Amino acid sequence: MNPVRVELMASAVGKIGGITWHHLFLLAADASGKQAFLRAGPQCLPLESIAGRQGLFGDALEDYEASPAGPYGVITFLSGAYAAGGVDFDPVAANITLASGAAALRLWESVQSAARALGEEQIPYDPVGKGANWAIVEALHRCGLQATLPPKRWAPGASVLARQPEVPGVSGRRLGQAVAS
Amino acid sequence: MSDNKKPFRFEAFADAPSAEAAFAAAYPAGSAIEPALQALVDMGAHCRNVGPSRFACRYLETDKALAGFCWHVAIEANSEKAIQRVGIGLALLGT
Repeated sequence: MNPVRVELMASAVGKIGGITWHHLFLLAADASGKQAFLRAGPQCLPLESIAGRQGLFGDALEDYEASPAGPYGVITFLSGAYAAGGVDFDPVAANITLASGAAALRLWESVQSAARALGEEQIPYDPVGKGANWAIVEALHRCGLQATLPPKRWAPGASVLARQPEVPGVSGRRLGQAVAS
Repeated sequence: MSDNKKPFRFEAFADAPSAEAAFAAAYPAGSAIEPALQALVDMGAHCRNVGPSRFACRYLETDKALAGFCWHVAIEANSEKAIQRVGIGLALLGT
């Protein structure tokens, strides 16, 4: 894929204390309109979330293997085609453009690389700390981007940033700031 | 769907192929799309028209948890509003 635009997406998924929280993911689009996502999530869910469910081969609990990293396993990144019926597809998700033109390809490549590195760190998934939103913001942060969310969107975990050196050659800027192509 | 069948519930499944197979059994290709869409909306899914006779629905199990299953459904119908194709995707979603 040769993206001409990369966006940070915020998809409403539930309420905490009456306030809607959002799941963050990245979306890249090429010149033909084809789209791809990059997202983070838990490796698994706690045992109680699986109990009573059926899998392809019967009771899902029979295939359940607890992760040594904890009930949610480690932070896991996934990338793929963004389409109806596919992971994270949300036609009404809020968005903010991170890069366009030639800068989009550079950002997409470097953020995928940052995501791979984060995945290899085997960071335990913590839904009240280092979770999916933290992971996406952290991947961007490692590419030299400081996160600003789409207006009026709350994404728990997105502000839990670790200080990391910026990727060499990528200038520091705030999310949403115009990028020269 | 006949009365002797259990209503389709995402909460009964742990993976997308299982849910897709059960959904296809409850709402087979060739049957009217409206009951399938109505059932999805009734169970709390958010559905949108994303093309001519093409719908995308999302069903979240994260209302009472910070992480859970998120089901994505794509349903395509023909000009007679009969189901042609159903695709179900599953993501583990969290904060």
